[in-house]
Amino acid sequence: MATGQGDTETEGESYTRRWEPRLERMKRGWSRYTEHKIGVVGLIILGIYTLWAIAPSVFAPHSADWVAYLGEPPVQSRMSAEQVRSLPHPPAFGDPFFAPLGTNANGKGILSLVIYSARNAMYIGLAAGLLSSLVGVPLGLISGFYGDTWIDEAIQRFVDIMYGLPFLPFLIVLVAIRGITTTNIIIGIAVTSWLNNCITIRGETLSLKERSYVESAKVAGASDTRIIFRHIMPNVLPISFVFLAQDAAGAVIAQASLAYLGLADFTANSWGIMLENIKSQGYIFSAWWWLIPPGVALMLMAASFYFIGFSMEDVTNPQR
Amino acid sequence: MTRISGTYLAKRLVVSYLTLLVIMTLLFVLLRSMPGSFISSMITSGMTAEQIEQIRETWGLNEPLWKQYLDFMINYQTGNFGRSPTYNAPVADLMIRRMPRTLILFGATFLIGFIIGPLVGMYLGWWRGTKKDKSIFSTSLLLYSMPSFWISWLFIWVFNYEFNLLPSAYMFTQFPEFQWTAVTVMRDVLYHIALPIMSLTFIGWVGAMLIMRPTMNQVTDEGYVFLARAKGLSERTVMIKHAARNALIPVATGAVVGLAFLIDGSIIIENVFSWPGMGQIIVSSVLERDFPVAQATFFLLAVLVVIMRLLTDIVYTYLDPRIKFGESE
Amino acid sequence: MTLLDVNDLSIRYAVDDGSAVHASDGVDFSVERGETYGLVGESGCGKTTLAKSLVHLLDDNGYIERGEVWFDTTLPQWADENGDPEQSVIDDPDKPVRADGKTNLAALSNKQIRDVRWRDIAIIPQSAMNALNPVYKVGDQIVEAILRHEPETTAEAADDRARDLLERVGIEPERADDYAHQFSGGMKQRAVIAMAMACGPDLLIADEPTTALDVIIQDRILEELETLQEEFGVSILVISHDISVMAEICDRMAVMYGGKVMEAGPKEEIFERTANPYTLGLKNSFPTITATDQELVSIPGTPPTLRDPDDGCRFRDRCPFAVEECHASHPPMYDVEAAESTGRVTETTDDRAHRSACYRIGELDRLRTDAVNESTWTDQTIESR
Repeated sequence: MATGQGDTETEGESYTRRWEPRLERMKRGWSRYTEHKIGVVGLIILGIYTLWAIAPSVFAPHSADWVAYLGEPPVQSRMSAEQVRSLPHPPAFGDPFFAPLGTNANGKGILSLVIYSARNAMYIGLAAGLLSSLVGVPLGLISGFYGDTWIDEAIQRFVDIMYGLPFLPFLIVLVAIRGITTTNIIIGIAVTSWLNNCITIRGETLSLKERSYVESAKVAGASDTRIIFRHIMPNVLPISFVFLAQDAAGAVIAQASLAYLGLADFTANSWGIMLENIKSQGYIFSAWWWLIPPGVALMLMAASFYFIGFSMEDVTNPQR
Repeated sequence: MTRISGTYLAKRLVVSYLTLLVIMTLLFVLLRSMPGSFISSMITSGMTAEQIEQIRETWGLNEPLWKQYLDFMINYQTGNFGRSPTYNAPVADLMIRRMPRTLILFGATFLIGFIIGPLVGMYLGWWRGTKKDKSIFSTSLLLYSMPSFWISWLFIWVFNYEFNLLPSAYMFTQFPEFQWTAVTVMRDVLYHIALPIMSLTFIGWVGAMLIMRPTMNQVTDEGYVFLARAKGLSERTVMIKHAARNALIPVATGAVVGLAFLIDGSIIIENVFSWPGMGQIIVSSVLERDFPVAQATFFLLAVLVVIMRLLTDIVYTYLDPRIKFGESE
Repeated sequence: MTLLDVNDLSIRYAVDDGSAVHASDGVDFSVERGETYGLVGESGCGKTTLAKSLVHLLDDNGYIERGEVWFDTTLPQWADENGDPEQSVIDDPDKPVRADGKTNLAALSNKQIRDVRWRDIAIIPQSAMNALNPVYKVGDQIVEAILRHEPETTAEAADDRARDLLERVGIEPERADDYAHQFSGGMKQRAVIAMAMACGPDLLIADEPTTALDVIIQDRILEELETLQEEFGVSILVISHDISVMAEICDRMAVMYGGKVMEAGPKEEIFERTANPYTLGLKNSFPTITATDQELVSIPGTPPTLRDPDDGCRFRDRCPFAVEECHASHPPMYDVEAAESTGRVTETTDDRAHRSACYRIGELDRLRTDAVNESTWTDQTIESR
C-alpha cells in the first residue's frame, strides 16, 4: 500500500519528493509568465507602488502634512491672502516652493499626496481581493464538489440572489450600516465581489472531480475534506490567484467610486478622496495637475493588477 | 424557438419571482439595519413629543417591524410602492418618471458595449499573441482600470469645457429657444445623452471583450474551423461564420455580469452628468434613509437583472442548438 | 495518369527559439487517378503535416521550405472552356502551370489555393467527429461547400444535392435538418465523407479515417470509402498509423519515419517483400489475422524530435541494423527490385517503383530473417548519441 511506503521514507526525502515537482512546475510557470510583457510591466508597476506604500517618505518630496509657502509642520505663520489666492498652485520647481505636480486648494503637494496614498489603495486592493477569495474559493469548491446536491443548489441560488442586487448601491448600504471606515469598505467590497470567483471555481471543481486521480483517491477511501483540500484545491489555487488580482483591481476602482459618492474615510490619504476633493472644491477644469495624477495613479494600480491577473490566467490555462 | 417549452418558462418565472421575494426581504432587513431614519430630517428642535409621535405614526414607524415587513411585501405585490418622505410624492410616480430615462441611457450603452466588445474580442482572439492583439488588449485593460467618473470629467473637459461641443449635464436644454416638438425633444435628448453614453461605453465594452477573446481563441483550434478552411472558405467567413458564431455562446451568459458592471457605471454616470434617472436617487435615497424610494429603486434594478437573465437564457438557446431548456440539461 | 506528383517536399515548423522542426524532408511520391495511396507511420512522423501542406492548411508556424506539389488541376481564372489551362498561362513564367496541365500547388497564393481546396482536394480531418459545426444544420454545411465552389448553383439545387450525398453514405435525407449533436459518431464521420464528396474532388485526403471508431464502424467506413472511389473515380490519400488499415484499402503506399519516406511502392510489394528495417519493425508491432500465434514486438525507443536534425539516417538510433554509414548521412532511395534480382544497389527516382531508404539494401534476406526475432530488437543497445 502507498502508506506503507511512506513510513520507510525519512522526513527529508518525502519532503523533497513532494516539493521537487512543484518547484519545477513553478519554475516553468514563471518562465511562461515572463513571456507576457504586460505581466512583467504589471509586476514592475506594482513593485513601485509597494515601495511607495512601505516607505513613502523616501520617494515623496515632502511629507503628507507639508503645506505650500509654509513648509513642514509645525507651522507658526499663516499664508498671506495673495498666497491663499494662488492655490491650487500649478507645478513649481523651487520658486516660490518645490512641488513638481503643484498643490491642491489647501496647499498640499499633489505628488506627495499621490505617493502617500499608495498604501491605502494597496491595502484596500489586496485585503478586499484576499477576503473575496476567502469567501468565493471555499464556497466554489464546496458547491462544485457536491455538484447537483442540495448544497450546490443552495449555494447557487444564493449566488443568483446576490447577482440580483446591484453591486454599488448594495455596497453603499453595507458601508452605511457599519459606518464609513476603510475596514468596512473592504468588507463591503469583499461581500459583493466573490460571486464570479465562486462560479468559476465551482465549474473547475466540477471537471476536476471527474479526473481519474480524484476517483482513485475516493476508491482508496480518502475523506471528502481530504479530497477537496489535498487533491482539488491545489489545482484551483492558480485560478483563484487570477481572481484575487482581478478583484483587487475592482476593489481599487470601487473604493474610488465610493469616495466620489462621498462614502470614504476622509481622514485617510487616498486617490479617490483627492478626486472627490477636486470635485467638491470645484477645480476639475482649472487644475489639471490635480485632476490627472490621482486618476492615472489609480488607473495604473488597477491596470497592474489586471495585467498580472490576465498573464497568470494564461499560465494556469492548461491549453496551449 | 420551439426549443423552450412552456413548462420550462413557467418554472423559470416562478423561480425568478421567488428570487425577487428573497431579494426584497434582504433589502428590507439591510435598509432597516442602517442607523438613523428619514424622519430625523423632519424633526426640528422646537417640536413637541406629540408632534414627533404624529410624524412617526403617519410614516408607519410605530408599527412592529414584522407588520412593516408584511405591509411592504403585500403592497409590492399590488404595485403599491408607498410614498416618499423626501419627495413627498408617490414612489410609483417617481419611478415611472425616472425609469425610462435610466433605461435609455442603460440600453444604449449596453447595446453599443455588446456590439463593440465581442467584435474587438473576436479580432483579438483570432489574432491572439500578435503584436496587434497585445497592444490593443493592454490598452483596453488600461481603459477598464479607469474610474468612470474620472474619465467622464476628462470627456467633459474636452468636449464641453474646451470646445463646447456637447452639454455636460441634464437631459434637456434648460431654457430652450426652440419649441418642444417630437423632433426637437428627440434631438435635444440625443444631444444631452451623447457624452454620458460616450463616457460609459468608453470603458463598458471591455467587459464583453474580455469574455469573447479567450473563447474565440479556444474555438480557433476546433475541428470545424479547420474544416471550414479546408472547404475553401475565405478567412473572413471562417472567422465570423464558423468561429465567432460559436465563441459568442459564452458571451450571452457573460452578459449578466456585464450588466452588473453597467448598472454600477450608470449610477456613477448619472451622478456626474446630473442625469435625472434612478441612479441619481438610489444613492441619495440611501444616504437620506428614504426607505420607500430606496426599496423601489433596488427592487426595479433587481427586476431588470432578473428579466435580463431570462432574456439571456433565451438568447442562449437560440445561439446554441445543443441546449434544450425544459429537458434536463 | 498521374494526378498528384510531389517532388522533394520539405516542410518546417518555426520554433520560438529560432530552430525549426523538419516535419517533412525531401519527400517524393505520386498518386495516380483512381488509386488509393497510403501514408503510414507512427504519430509525429510528419504524415499529417505532409497531407495538410498540399492545400496550405498548416498551422501558423508551418511553412513549405522547398519542393513542388504538381496537381492535375487549373484554377478557374486560368482555365479555358474545357478546363485546361490557357496557353498564355502556361507560357507565363510567373504562373506555376506546366504544359501537361498540372499546377504547382506549393507556389499558389493563399487566395488561389482556396479555389483548389474542396473543389479538387477534399480533406476528412483526423477529428472528423468534431469537424461538424455544432451551431449549423448538417445539410447547410454541405450546401455551404457546394455554393462556395459553384456559385451559379441555386440554394434549392444545392440542398437537394446535399440530401442526395447524405443518402449515398447511408444517412436518411431528412437528417440534413439535424444538428451534429443529434448524430452518432459513425454518422458524423459519414456526414463528413458526404461533405467531402460535395464538389466532386479528384483527391480525397482521409486523415486517420478509422481512429476513435469501434471495429465494426471502422470496417463500414473503409467500405464506404471504397464504394465512393468506385462511384466517383476519386483518388484517395489515406493517412494512418495503423498498417492493417493500409493492408485493407491501399493500392500503393509510403512508409514515413521522422519526416522522411523510408519505403514506398505497391502495397503487395511492401508487405511481401519488405525492404526496410523500419517497415519490418512496424509490421512486427501489428497483429495480422493470418498469423494467430504471432508475437507482437514493438520497436524500442521513441521517435526523434525532428528539431534541427543532423544528417544521419533518422531511424538509426532505434535500428538494430545500423552501420557506420548510417551516422554520416540519410540513405537515398534504392531500387528494391534491382537489389533483389541482381544484387545491385542502385538509386532510383521512379516514384512508382518499390524503393527503400536503407544502406543495407543488398542484404535484404538477412534483414528479413533477423527482424522476425524479438531478440534482434530488444537486445540492441540503443546508442545515445
